Amino acid sequence: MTVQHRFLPTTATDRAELLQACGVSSVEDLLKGIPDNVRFKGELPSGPAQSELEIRRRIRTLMKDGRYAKNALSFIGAGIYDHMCPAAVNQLTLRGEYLTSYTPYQPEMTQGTLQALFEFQTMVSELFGMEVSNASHYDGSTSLAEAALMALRINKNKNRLLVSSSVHPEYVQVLRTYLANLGVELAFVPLESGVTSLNSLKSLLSENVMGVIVQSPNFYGCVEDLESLAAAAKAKDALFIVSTPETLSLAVLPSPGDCGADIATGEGQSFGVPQSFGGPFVGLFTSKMEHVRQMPGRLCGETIDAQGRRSYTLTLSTREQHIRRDKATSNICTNQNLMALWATIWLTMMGKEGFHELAVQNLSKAEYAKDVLLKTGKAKLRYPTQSTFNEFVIELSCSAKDFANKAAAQGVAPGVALSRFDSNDNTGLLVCVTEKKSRDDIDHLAQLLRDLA
Amino acid sequence: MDFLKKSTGHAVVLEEPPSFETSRPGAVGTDLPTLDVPRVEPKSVFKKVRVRKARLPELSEPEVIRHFTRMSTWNYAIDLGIYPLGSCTMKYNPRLNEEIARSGELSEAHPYDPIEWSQGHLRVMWELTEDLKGVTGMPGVSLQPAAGAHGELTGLMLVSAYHKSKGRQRKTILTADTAHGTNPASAALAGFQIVQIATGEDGVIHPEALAAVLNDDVAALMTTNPNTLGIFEKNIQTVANMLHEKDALLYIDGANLNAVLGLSRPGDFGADVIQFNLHKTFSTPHGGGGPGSGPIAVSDKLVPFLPVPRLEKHGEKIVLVDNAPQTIGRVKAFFGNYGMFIRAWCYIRALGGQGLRAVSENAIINANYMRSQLKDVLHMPVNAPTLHEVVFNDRNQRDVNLDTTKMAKRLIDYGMHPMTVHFPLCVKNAIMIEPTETESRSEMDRFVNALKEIIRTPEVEQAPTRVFRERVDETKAARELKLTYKFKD
Amino acid sequence: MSNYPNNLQYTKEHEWIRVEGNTGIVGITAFAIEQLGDVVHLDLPKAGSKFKAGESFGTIESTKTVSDLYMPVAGTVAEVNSALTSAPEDIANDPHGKNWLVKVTLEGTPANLMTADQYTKYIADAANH
Repeated sequence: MTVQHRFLPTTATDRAELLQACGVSSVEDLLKGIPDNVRFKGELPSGPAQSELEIRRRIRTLMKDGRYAKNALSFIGAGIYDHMCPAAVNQLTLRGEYLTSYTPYQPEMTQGTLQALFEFQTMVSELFGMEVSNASHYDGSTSLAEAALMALRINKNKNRLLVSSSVHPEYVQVLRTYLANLGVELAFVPLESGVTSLNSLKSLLSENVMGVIVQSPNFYGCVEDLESLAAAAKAKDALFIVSTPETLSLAVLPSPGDCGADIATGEGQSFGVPQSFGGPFVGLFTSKMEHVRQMPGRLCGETIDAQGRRSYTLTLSTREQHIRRDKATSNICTNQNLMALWATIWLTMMGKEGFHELAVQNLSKAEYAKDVLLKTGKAKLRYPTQSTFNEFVIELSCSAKDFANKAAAQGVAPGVALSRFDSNDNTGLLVCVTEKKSRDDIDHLAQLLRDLA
Repeated sequence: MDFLKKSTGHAVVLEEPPSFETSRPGAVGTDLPTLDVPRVEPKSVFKKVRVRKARLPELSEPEVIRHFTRMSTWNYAIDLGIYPLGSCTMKYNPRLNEEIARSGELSEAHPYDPIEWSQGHLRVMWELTEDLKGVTGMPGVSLQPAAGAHGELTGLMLVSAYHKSKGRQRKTILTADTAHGTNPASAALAGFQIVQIATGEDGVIHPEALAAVLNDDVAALMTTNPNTLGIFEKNIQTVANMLHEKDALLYIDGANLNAVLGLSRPGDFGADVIQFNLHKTFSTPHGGGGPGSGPIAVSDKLVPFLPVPRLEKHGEKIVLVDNAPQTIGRVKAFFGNYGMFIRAWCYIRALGGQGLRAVSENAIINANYMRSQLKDVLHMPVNAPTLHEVVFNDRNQRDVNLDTTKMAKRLIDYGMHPMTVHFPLCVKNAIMIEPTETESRSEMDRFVNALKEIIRTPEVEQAPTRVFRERVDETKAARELKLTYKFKD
Repeated sequence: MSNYPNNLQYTKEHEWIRVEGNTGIVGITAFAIEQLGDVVHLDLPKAGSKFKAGESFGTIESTKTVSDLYMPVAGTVAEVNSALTSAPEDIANDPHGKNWLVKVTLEGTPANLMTADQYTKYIADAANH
């Protein structure tokens, strides 16, 4: 039977002509290669074809109780951050030349994609204070897992990896899954007052540690002393690996490169990328130049063309899956190109001053929030001696989950109850305050705390 | 034959240096509301602060728009013309998908939101998993992997977990010599070794070849079906039975699913795990190289090992469940590339079950049309019925010194992206063509006529020339690595 | 194709070795270099490293591929051609002579190696497939 659909150019007439050119009378003749016993003769259960109008109507119904429809207020961070994005970014990435272009394996016809990637790599290296960045990974969690694999390749004869207990729990889960079949032993460094304990790290460091992983700002929002931790790792020839889920913090905190990182990874979602219920995002991966041949993922390099004009091309692709096959540095086939472009445009629009100012606004609003929340008398700072960027943990005297549920009924998500990650932690609430929260929004949160906690 | 002046198809193509060169101190591209709380300087809160501001460009909004718009005109794209790339399934990317995926409902949706606020999104995910189960005839699906290669890795981790649960450690994965490049790399990452099986003269895996290597150390066999020659693996049921007899598993690389929607289901011929490429079969955009999405479907045997969290339906409510004692864990933070799920969901709703079958039928008709138009000029190394893609090589052109690479490069001068070359590896100097169902006859003829003219004029050297940049020096790029812009200060 | 020197022995992986007393001088053949295309990088081991026969002692990278270099005979690396590591593209000139890769102190006896004639036939057969 023939289906005429708006996605399918072939009309009934076309179909007859094409089949004739193939020397057959029906499409069944072209399906001879499928043995009868594995030929599906039923109907797929995906229902009838729906028009655009019907799909739109369905979406409105589905989303009617969503956060956007309710104009809800959210103070949730925990690895995905609510930041502004100028209209131009979305519209530029809608251009078909970017959206519907293929991987730039033919550089002559993809200089647009390639130059944007070169700009991306430059900006990411600059932000992380590192010598080289790749063209992006799936997300922050898999970037970190790839960094662990890279440490394993560089320090082939070592089998232990130390991970701070303040790394995002889901990132840790991903690490575990990736390393499960590779004979690597994971050991966790305990915390002291909300940050990685330097003394514990030193006592855990031994000769067979390939790397040390620290997140900053960490999962609890606290800024880690990367320099001291890096020095301890170096003293035992372990690679120092940093993870930065909230990359806006790079505007105001010392860069991982300046603190001694060998590999610095992160999540570029903060660069205006929509939260999208968890993805797609843009994993960031940087390292020292001496390790560039061990770096996974795609790399864009500058060169010239036959006319001597500056040009760009994917390079060192011999490390990638399609050439080295089982000796590949990774099996990654993609970079998150469109999201890398998104981040590139966002960073270009924010610019040198805007990026810094945005971070200062985040910091200021978070500090204001701490102030008004504490003044309610219903909450304390869990780590009062630690500095934080735009996220912090407050300690309630009731169940944080109950408070969050009551607030949600009033259209406010006050943060993430830490009991979600640790069933023994009933009173901790991780609160994130970005530039998108007005003073009134923050005051409203304080009022809810007064009333409901 | 119409030549384009500039093959990218734009009448006006301008130079545009990297933004760092047009940047001017003081220019601003965005604005923020005035701070409505007391200003806190970083120095007053942190012991140490960033040494100096990152050297991001300084450009006004119109300059940024021009910068990226000019650059976009240097790109070829599906919106401009055909990409006959084998196993890439470069089909049209529907625009409704983009509109819905970029709406406010998505830009403000956090995985940790109260579950009542997330029901719409969870419902989309639920329906998509049902669609994918339907297409494959398989009972378990995880949407978590972020890309095809990621789905492969996840699938292989499931294979490993399965054997571990049976108290054994099998180290070997068999692959056909028609395998996609990521297969061996994924296998190595999952802790396996690869042993390759040669396919027969007819392009498919033969039971005898499998029997020769099938021992108790084989964890699974990985193959694409139809394979990278576009040929359906006619012995696949026998292969699956042989594997299952040894309690080994069958991994199907779903890259070529576009050929069999509604026509053949991997679950029916014994597949244990398959990864989908939403950016191939299900129309999500390639975006210049990602993001993709690589969900997996599994047979009953592997369901217990699927990643967490998993979707469950309790009455009308969709929830996420973490409790699964045999799970391999997580392969990615959060739920996966939801932005791609909703695009694929829109696509499947738009087509419906019968529409999906029409997609495969039209893909097969188009590829066979290409075959009929080119079989008299190009050599077909394996003569068998082909489905959605067809493989030739340059044997007929050798005596005129026109090889696969030259033909591909010359196509660029005719204003289109070349087909896949030098893959699959089992064919020397392979030419692999997959038009997909969204190419019209006139566009397919444009490609066929260009290729025929190239073959008629083998003496033309130096290609491409009608491009924005000619013969980019890849050797120089690898020898003198320049991976970031060199700032003057 | 060029003539392969008779005073060298050849491996299936396209390495050659010239034995002078207790020292083996190791390089790769012109055929291998032609297959690789433009050489961009060479990764060679440090002096003092030990390798078994058939073990990978380094890699050679071109724009198309990265290939392992396999040691023809067991030995300890005595000297590395460092001039070549900084300009790997030079390897195409005189690959059977001055552009050797490593010199090893032999610890085994050469076995499973081909003569120049055998190697010439070996690569001719490979090209016909």
